[in-house]
Amino acid sequence: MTTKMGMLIGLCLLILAGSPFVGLTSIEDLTPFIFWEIRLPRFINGFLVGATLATTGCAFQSLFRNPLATPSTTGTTAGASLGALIAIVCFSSTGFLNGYTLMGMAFVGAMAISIPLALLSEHPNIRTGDILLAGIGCTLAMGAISTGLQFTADMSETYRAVQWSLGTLSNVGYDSTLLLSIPTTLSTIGILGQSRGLSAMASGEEMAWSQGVNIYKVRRNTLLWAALGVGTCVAQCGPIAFVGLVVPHIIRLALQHSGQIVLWCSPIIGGTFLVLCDGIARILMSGGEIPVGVITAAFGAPMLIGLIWLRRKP
Amino acid sequence: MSTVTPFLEATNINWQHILHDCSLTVNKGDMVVLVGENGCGKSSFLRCLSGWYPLKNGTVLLSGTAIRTLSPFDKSSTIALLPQQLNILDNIPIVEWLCNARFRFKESTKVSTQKVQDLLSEYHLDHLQHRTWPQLSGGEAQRLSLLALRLQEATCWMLDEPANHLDPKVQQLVYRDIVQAWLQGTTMITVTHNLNLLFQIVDKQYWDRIRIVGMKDGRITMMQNLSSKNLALKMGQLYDLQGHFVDIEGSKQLYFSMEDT
Repeated sequence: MTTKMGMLIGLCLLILAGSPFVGLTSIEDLTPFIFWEIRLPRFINGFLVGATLATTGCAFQSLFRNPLATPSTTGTTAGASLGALIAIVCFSSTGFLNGYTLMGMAFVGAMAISIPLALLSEHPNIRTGDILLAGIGCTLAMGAISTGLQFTADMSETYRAVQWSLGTLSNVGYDSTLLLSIPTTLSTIGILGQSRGLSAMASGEEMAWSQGVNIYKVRRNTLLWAALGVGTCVAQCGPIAFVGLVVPHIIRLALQHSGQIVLWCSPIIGGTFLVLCDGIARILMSGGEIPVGVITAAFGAPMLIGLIWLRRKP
Repeated sequence: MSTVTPFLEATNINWQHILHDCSLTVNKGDMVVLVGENGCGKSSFLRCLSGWYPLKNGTVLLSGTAIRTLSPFDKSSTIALLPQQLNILDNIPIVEWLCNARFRFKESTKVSTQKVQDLLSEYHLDHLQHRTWPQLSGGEAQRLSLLALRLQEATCWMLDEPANHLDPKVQQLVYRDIVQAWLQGTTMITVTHNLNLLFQIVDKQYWDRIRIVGMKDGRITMMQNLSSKNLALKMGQLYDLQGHFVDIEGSKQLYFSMEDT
């Protein structure tokens, strides 16, 4: 167990150390300017976003006792996306659209879904399955509204919306890194603080509750911390798919168990996963780059299926 | 008027068209066995007693305090609950899972782990410590669940059909663990169909301390104890069967036959 974990963390550190040097510019052309002003903030952002998405994904899977639960299934991502889309479509003609309004609207969108859901989750008559169902309902509704909004928008707005919705880490600088770092760090620490309660919930809510875990508070806090982190990430980089779903499963399959350690490993491995995918996005296509959201899905899905395939053998 | 506050006092509980006017008083150190047909409301009643279900009608007082006003943390020193057949899909390591039962002590993982390992060796179950949940048999899982209750060190256990799905040997082992905890002073409220295990395992001198509470269609219709003479008759009425006592190698056992045969 310890050896496996050591190897996993070692691999992560290796990838992290190498990734800022990967890109279209060859190492000789890598000027200090490109490295310090472009690569490094992008690297830090990628790590923070990956860490947040993986941690919230892992926490949601424990909370909902469902391997498919992520902020994308509980409506957090969809709410943030809709908020950002409203900003793109409605504000771009008024000249009011900038990084801050986009981020603000995405955050409002994430909270607009998560706060009612968190309030709902605190009610003793509500079971965890109900919250998941409500979240899926919200996701579908938000998706429909987003599509409708794109349909009514003009060509340039639609193009911008589509480009944003694919998820990218490309247009960032240090100011956005600073903006991103505080909420994501708070969110990750907040969720890790729930780890004992979340771990007890593996035996089901009734037993965890009888063991002294305030399951209603664990639900509420996890949802709200996740909304803070995910809302900020979506606002900055668009809805990057698959990280929250796939990373916790990769850790579980690699370590072959699913104790509390999975949650504690999620930030570093999630961060590394996204940094790695971003590196691939930079070098895969000559003369341009692929949105990182495309890479996470294209890379994460086969990785997960491969690990499940390997598990066939005892 | 009694001056002693009972440990647990349920008064006129009505719940969702399932329970009707159920009242029960449990004193410290009691063993209460809830019996009755499938679907008669035993599990629902247990969940009302534990405070899991919010009540619109009726009250449950735990040492004089309304149970729903207590936080899960406050209550965890008093009531430890084992729901019917735990189903844990995660590959969670056994020792870590058992450590969850120490949640209320707010101790370090190291201390919890040591407690868990000590108890596992005391019950000769150390060979299970490197397994994860899905690698356990039904019997192993149930015996470990009882260890979780022990680790919680609560004064009362509430068990929902703790042995019904297990093979005869494990049923014996599970009930031995339960009776042992009861004799050590734990208040016990358990749902079961099988009183014969109690006849077999509990020493005769304690039979009149075991209260059998029968439920039918959401009402409490029977209050007996294990030593009472007309228990067989009353149990028969509860299940619409003919109840008899039989003697098997010196051990008293309940036997049911269909009424028309």
